[in-house]
Amino acid sequence: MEDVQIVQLYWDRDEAAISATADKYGAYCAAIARNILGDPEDAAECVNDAYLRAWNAIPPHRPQALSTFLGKITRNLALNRYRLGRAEKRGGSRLPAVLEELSFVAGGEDAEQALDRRELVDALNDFLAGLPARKRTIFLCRYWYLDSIAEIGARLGMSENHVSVTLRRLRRKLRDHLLERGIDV
Amino acid sequence: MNTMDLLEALGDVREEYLREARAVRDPAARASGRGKRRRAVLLAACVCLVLASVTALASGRFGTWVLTIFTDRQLAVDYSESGYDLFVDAERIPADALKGDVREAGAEIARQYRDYRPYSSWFPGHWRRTFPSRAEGGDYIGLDGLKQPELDAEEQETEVNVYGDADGTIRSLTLDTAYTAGDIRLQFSARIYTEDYTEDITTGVRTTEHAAYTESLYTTERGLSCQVLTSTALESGYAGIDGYLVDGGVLYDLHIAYQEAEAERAQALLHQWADGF
Repeated sequence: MEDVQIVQLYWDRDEAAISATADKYGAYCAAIARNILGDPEDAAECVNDAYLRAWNAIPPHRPQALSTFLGKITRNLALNRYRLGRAEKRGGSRLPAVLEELSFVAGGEDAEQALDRRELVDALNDFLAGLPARKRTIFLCRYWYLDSIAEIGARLGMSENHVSVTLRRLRRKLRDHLLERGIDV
Repeated sequence: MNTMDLLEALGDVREEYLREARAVRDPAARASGRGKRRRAVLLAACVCLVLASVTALASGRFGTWVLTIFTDRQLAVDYSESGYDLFVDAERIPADALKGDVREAGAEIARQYRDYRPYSSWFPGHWRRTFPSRAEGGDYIGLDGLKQPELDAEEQETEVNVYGDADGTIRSLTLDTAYTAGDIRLQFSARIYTEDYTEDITTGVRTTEHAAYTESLYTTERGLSCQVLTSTALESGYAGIDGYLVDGGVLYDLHIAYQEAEAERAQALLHQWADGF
């Protein structure tokens, strides 16, 4: 089913919207949640919450891209769930490793410096815009989708070591970029 | 800024970059996804529609039919809903029967599709205009015989919503007006489907709260059948009553939300509205 048809189902308050969403984007959302939370059951609950959020948001919202709309909801819910400790830390989550990597760019998890969220997002968009598409994809696969180094390497035909080195350089570049913009890291 | 702040801010980066990455993560995402078949739930819905269509044809009259009424239907692990579905059998209106300025909306919708930019445009295919009164909204549509029954309620805002195709063909439109009568809230809609609307028409109501619905029929002073669905009160304390009536190829519905103490007044408003046809 095309996204436009699924969105119309939401607008028509037709519950087939949920099954159509699950059919087309269930695995996609589950992978995002699983990468963050680790546990499949927690991830499934998170995805169900995402469907409910989508149901409540459409209408009035008409997402321009249903995949990223659902992906963002799922990612945010999973991060919140992780942060609030609702997800039991059973292992399998890639979040600790990713946070560890990002600690080179930002303060640790406990850092409490005020920041302007909009300014930070703008800086990130500028940073990404300045990257070649392939490096941008590597960066987002790791830090947006929380894919493993091995998965990224396999998809892009790169060794794990090559992916790790690329990510390390990208983190350094991001840190410099943020500092140049006056963002306190 | 801590690492979680950074990770969360990354969630808001431009969608085009996310789609770019997703195309690498899931090569199938690059294709449109056409050709995949839906699961049994849709098939079941289609069967219901077919059965309802057969019923409608057999009865030889236009109107609405209840397909399903459900309470606390479980859709996911922690998600249930209550509501109902109606099948609507309404005559399709020829496009040239719309004599008002609404015809220009087709060109606007075609322009939306033509100028559509995936990353920055509003979703194409929907045109909306607001009006200070329902009468003006009706003039904008310009359909002869469009009914405007009286209501002892204070008229609020009116809007016309037009839905169309990329070639500017108008497929359906609605004329919606909100009213208030003390603490009672009303929403009066007229839905028009053109000859280019070839799908079956269904409508319905959903809530994620617990609610029980009951169905009844009210016969108007002119002998028309008005389908009435009432719901028990939601957590807000508001109960609902909905009337559906097909007349002259238009589906009219009135939704009334009211507190229990005003049930009689709500019922009287519904009857006043239905008897206005």
